[in-house]
Amino acid sequence: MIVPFPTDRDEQWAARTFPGIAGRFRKTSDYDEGYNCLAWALGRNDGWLYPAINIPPYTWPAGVPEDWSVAAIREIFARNGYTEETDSSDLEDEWEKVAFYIANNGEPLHFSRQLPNGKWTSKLGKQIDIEHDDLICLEGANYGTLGLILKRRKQS
Amino acid sequence: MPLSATCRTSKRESNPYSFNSDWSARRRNHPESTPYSFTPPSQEYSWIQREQHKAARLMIPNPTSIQIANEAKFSSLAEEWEKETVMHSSLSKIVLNTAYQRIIGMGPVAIPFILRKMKQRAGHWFWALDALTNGESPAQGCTSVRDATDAWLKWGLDKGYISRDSE
Repeated sequence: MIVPFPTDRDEQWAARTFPGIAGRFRKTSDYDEGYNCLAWALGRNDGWLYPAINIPPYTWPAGVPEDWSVAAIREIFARNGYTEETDSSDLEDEWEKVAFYIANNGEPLHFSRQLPNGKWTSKLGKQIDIEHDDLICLEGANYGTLGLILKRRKQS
Repeated sequence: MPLSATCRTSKRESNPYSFNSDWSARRRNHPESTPYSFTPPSQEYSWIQREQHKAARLMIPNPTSIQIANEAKFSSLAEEWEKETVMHSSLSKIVLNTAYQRIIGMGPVAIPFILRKMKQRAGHWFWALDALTNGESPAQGCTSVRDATDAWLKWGLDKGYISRDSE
């Protein structure tokens, strides 16, 4: 049997780990280490996307450089229609958005996806999914800073 | 019996450090005596107790104490790793963590501990298992964490690293 970790108080854990998030989020799923934030930003919860294809169960789209970099991950999003860059995190009719959080050294650390209500959804590593009010609240020591927002036309 | 011989015998018996004194028996029965005290083994001791005494004399930890120490070390490192990496999605952040690397550094002795941990919670132990088993890869072809975990647990059962009832 898979035991969730931490077994309770996920919200307290989130608020402790991401100090800016307190009072600006709600938990939307239990602990699940079966998928990561990149998969979740792409709308999937069926696998952990990482370019370590020799070590199952990690998967990576065929043809994309096997590199956990902004350029390679941007290509994955481009293949899913997110081709346009934008400076605005506001809700726009006709557009769906994803955001990249990037470390000072350029390493991508986290991805969020905008919901139809204008809020954002994030998978916090192996932990819970949350809905958060804005993008700034996740910035900090763990996820670096907001570095890039991409958008695609809403799919019917 | 010459007087000198009588005196020698009497002197030896009264000496608390004499080989013939009951000092060792008193020490063995002392309430604070531990299995690792330097009490001479005798016939009433079991084989394992005699081996423990031998190891204690040579300052070699016995196998049970090594096992306990390894398990405690693993548990502590695993807990530290969980706390420090549970928020990360980047596998490099997860597996290059110092505690995770120290678990790999424990060598194959860590395999049963990892598998027992995986029975409770899948975790992301695949990288460590790949390193510790020289790429056994029983999860080849699995694309979900759950399937890969099941494949490794079956491998651990087949190889005798864990038993069906191990926690």
